[in-house]
Amino acid sequence: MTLHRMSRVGLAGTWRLNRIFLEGARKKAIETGRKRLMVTGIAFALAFAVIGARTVEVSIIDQTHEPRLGGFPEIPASTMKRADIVDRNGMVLATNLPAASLYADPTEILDPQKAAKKLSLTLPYLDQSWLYSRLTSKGRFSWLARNITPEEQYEINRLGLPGVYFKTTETRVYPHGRSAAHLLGFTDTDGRGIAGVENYFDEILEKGGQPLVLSVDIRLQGMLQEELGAAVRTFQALGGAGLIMDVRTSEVLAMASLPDFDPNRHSSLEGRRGFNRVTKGVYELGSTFKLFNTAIALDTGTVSLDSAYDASTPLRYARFTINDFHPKNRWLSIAEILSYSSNIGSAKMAMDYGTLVQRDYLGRLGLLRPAQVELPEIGRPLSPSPWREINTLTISYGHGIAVSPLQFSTGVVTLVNGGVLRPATVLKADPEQPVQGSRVFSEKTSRIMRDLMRRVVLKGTGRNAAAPGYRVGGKTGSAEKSTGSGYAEKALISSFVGAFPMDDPRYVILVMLDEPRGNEATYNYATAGWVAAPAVKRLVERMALLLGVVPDFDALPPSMASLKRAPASPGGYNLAAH
Amino acid sequence: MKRHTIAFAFFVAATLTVALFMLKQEVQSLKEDLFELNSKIASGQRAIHVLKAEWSHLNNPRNLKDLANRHLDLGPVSAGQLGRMVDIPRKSRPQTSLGAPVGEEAKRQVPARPASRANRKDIR
Repeated sequence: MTLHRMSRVGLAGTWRLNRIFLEGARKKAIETGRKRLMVTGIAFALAFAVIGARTVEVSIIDQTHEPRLGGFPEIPASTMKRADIVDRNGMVLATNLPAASLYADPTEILDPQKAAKKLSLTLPYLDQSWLYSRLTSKGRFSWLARNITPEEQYEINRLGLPGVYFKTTETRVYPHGRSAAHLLGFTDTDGRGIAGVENYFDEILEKGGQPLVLSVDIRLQGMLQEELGAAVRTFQALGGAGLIMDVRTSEVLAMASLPDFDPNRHSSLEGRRGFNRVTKGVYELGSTFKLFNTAIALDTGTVSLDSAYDASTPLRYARFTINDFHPKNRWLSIAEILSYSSNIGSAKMAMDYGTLVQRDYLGRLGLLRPAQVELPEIGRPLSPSPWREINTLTISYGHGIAVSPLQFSTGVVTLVNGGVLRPATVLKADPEQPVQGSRVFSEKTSRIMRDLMRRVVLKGTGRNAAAPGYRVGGKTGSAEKSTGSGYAEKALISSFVGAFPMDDPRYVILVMLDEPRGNEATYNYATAGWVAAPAVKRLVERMALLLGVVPDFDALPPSMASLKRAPASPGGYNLAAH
Repeated sequence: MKRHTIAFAFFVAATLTVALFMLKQEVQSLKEDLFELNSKIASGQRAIHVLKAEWSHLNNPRNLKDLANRHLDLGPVSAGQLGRMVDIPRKSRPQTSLGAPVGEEAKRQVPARPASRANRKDIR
C-alpha cells in the first residue's frame, strides 16, 4: 500500500506519506499495545481463574487432603522435665511436682536483720542467724530454701520483702512413701536418679514424656510390706526380704526389703536401710535349695518318684557329718525327703547325679552369675572354687552357695512354670507378647515338682502355709548363718518359698527373715515353718481374691463353707485331695 | 462494553479485597482463641498432674486400710464367704398326688419356650 502511495508523490505527497506512515505506525503501535494488554489481561484472568478454581476445589470439593489444623502445636504428654514412674495399674509411684525455691539478692535487701527474723518465723526450720549471714553475703545470689511448699510460698510472698525471690523448680515426690522404696530408688537434689529404677532408667526418665510402667502392683506391695514387717517385728529379726513374682512372665509384682526408708526424706537413709536385701544381698538359703536338688535328680533320670534313700544314719564324708534336723531314722522316698527336709537324703541324691550335673543345672538356672534385672544394685552370688564333691553334697541342701533372693525366686518360678527360665523384670510385660526364655527342666519334671511342693505344705514342714482352698505348695528353709569360723547356733536365715494355685501356678511368694527369734507362740522355734510360712499363708489369703484366684470350694473345710456343697464333678486331678 | 468490563473488574477487585481482609481478621481472631485454649490446656494438664500425685497418695494401701478400719464395719473377705451357683439350694416345687403341677403352679412353672436370651422380648 505504501508503495502505491509513493507513486503519486510530490511535495504534498511526502507530507501525506509521512502522515500515513505515522498513522500506520501509530496504529501499529496501538495495535501492538492493545494486543500486549490483552495478552497480559488474559494471563491475569487465567491466573485468577486458576486460583478461584483451586479455592473452590480445596474448600468445598477436596476436604480430606489438607490438614484442618495447620501449625497446631503438639500438646506434650507431660509438662514436667522428668517422666513419672507408675505401677502396672497406672498408679503414680514417682513424679515431679512444681515447687518454689527461695533465693535472695543481698544487694537488694533493705533490712537484713528484720528480713531474717520474718523469714525464720515463716520457715521455722531455718536458723535466723544463718539466714542473716545468707542475706548479707557477697554476690547477688544466695539460696535460702529449696523446694518449699505452696503454703510457705504464699506466706513469704505476703511478707513483701524486697530482694527475696522465688525460682520455680521441680521436686521429685514419692506419693507412696516407704512402699517399694528400694525398687524405686530416689533422686538427688538435681533430680538425677542415684538408686533403684530411678538410676537404672535415668536417661529414659530425663527425656520426659510417657511414664515408665513398672510390673509392680502397689496393692500387693503394700500387703507384702505389711506381712513382712509384722513378721520382722514379731520375731525381732534383723531384717527381711520379700518377693512376689508372676510365674508366667517372671514379672516382679512386689519387692520388699526391711529395714527400709522413705525416699521422700534422704535423712531416713541411715545405716544399712538403703541396702536392697532382695537383689543385692546374697545368702545361704538352706533347705529351700532342696527344690532344685530334687528337680535336677528327677530331670536327669537319676531318680524317679519310686526311688528311696536310706536316711536312718548320718552321712559321713571325710571329716564332715551330715545330719537331719528332724531325723526320721528310716528310708525316705523322694517325696518324703522333700517334705521332711532331709539333708541326708538330699546329699545322697546329689552324690548320685554328680558335681558336673549340679554345676550345669545351677548355671543354667542363673544361680552362678549375678541376677539379671533392671536395677543397679545386684549382688554377686558366691559359689565354691574349687567345686569339690563335699561342696556338691552341701549345696544339695543349700549350704556352701549364696544367692540373692531374687535369683532364687526366679529359679523357683522356672521350676513351677513348666521348666522355662525367663529373666526377672521390673517392667510391665506386654500381655500380648509371650516372654522368651530358655528351657532348664522338662515339663514332666515341673509337673512332678509341683506335686511334691504341694505335699510339703499338706504333710511336711510347710503346713503353716496351707491357706484353705488356695492349693499352696512350697518349701521351708532354715539355714544357719555362717560366721567367720563355722556356723552360729541360733542365727538363722528362715525362709519359705511358696507358689499357688499349685494345679496351675500363677504366683511365687518368697518370705525371708534374717535372724528371727522364736517366741512363746512358736515354742521358741525360729525355723521357717514357724516364722515365715504363716506370713505366706496370710499373704495368699489376702492376695488371692484381689488377683482373681478362685478358691477350690471342694477343698475348703466344712467349717469354713457358707454353703453346703453340691456333689463334686467327676474327673479332674484334685491336688488338694491327697 | 469496555466500561462494563472495567466496572465489573473493579467490583470484583473490591469484593475480593474486602473478603480477604475479613478472612484475615477471622484467622487472627481464631489464632488468639487457639492460644488461649492452649494455655488453658497446659494449665489444666499441670493441675491434672498434681491431682494424679494426690490421688496416688490418697490411695496408699495403708491409709485406705486405716480409713476402712475406722469408718467401715467391713473386714477382709475370707474364702469361706464365697460360694458357687451350683451350691445354692433350689426352691422345691409343691407336687400334686399325680406328680404334675396344676393351676397357678402350672402357669408359673411350665415356660412356653426355653428361657434363653434370644427369646426374651424385653431386651433387644
